[in-house]
Amino acid sequence: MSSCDVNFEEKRLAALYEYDILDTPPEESFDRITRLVRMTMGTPIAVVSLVDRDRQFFKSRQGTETIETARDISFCTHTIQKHEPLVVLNALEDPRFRDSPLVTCENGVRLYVGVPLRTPTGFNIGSLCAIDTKPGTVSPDQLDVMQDLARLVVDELELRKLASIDSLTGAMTGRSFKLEANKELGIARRRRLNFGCIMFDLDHFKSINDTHGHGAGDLVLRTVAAICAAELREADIFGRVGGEEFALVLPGTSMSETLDVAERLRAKFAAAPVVYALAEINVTASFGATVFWEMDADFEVTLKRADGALYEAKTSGRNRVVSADPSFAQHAILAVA
Amino acid sequence: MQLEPEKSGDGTLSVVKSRLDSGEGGDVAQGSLKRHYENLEKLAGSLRKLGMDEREVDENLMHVFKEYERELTNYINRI
Repeated sequence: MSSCDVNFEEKRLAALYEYDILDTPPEESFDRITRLVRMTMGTPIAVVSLVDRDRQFFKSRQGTETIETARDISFCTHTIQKHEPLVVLNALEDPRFRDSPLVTCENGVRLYVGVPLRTPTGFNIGSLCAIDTKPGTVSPDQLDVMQDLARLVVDELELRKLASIDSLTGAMTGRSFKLEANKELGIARRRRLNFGCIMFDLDHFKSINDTHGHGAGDLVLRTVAAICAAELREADIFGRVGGEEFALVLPGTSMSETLDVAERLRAKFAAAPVVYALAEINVTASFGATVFWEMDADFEVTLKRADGALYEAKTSGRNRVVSADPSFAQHAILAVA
Repeated sequence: MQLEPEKSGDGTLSVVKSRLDSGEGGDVAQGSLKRHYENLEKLAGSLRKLGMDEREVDENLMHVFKEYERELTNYINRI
């Protein structure tokens, strides 16, 4: 790859990351489009693929359980090189793909139709794909529908970027949260103020989804978010930064106060089981807490420190608060005891 | 804002157009909605070429628009 290509790829990735959509759960707005792809193309598989640095992530998938694959074996990495659709009628006859594990495996890809997802700024961040395990044909009218649907996928992505609030939980989206937190960091630095930062992650959330269904998982997320909204002050910033991962910024808050807030939330979650379809679901979360340090270059550094403490909370038994500041470690342990 | 007059049977497109005409949500939301309207209109044309009747075309447009509208309403309610 030339330095010009590398530069373009970095800009393309930046355009993708702006949507803050990688590793987020499936959403109906995208699933509706892939279902329509499957119907109009007559293929068993349809996906919205987002091409990351080393992988493709399927934001929406019909007819396959695969969530991501390595980028170097993917068809979509070829699709995003051009502005026109990539149509492969029989991958076994195409030298670019016939040796790919996606083709040579059992029920491998034969027919592939991929339309680039082109942002308004001109970057192909992924593709909308129709896939069959049998060779096939594609009419120009079908291809037109695919191109129209690819534009609608980008509409959804753009709208998502526009909306700063996660519609399920009412928390800020990860992107908006980080923007707001960085503003807060600027204020704290100028005025030499404290601010606390907490990250928490729901314990065993996957097993809640697996055992009780996604409806239960959604209710748990909404319940936890409602508890946070009730506990926090107006000035506090609350965001959903991952599927079941949330973060808080508490302006003007010391380390000790930040740990108190984390512990209060931990206790409230644990004391409020969620009832779904007559089942009582116990909800706990693991917390990492820190404060802004003057040496923090930006909010990412502060958040990463909170994430490190969260990781420690997870690995040391879950349902606990861990401080990223060693001098407050004892406080955190006492809070859990 | 110059938009094509609605075709008969374009129930979903007329819903989108009425939201456009209301001017709600300011320039950003209107810009997003206008782009979406145009893209839905293109999709309607392509689905007709594929042999779908007006009812099927409209059902499919609504299928796609429904979630978009929900997100857009969330956005508008919060600005």
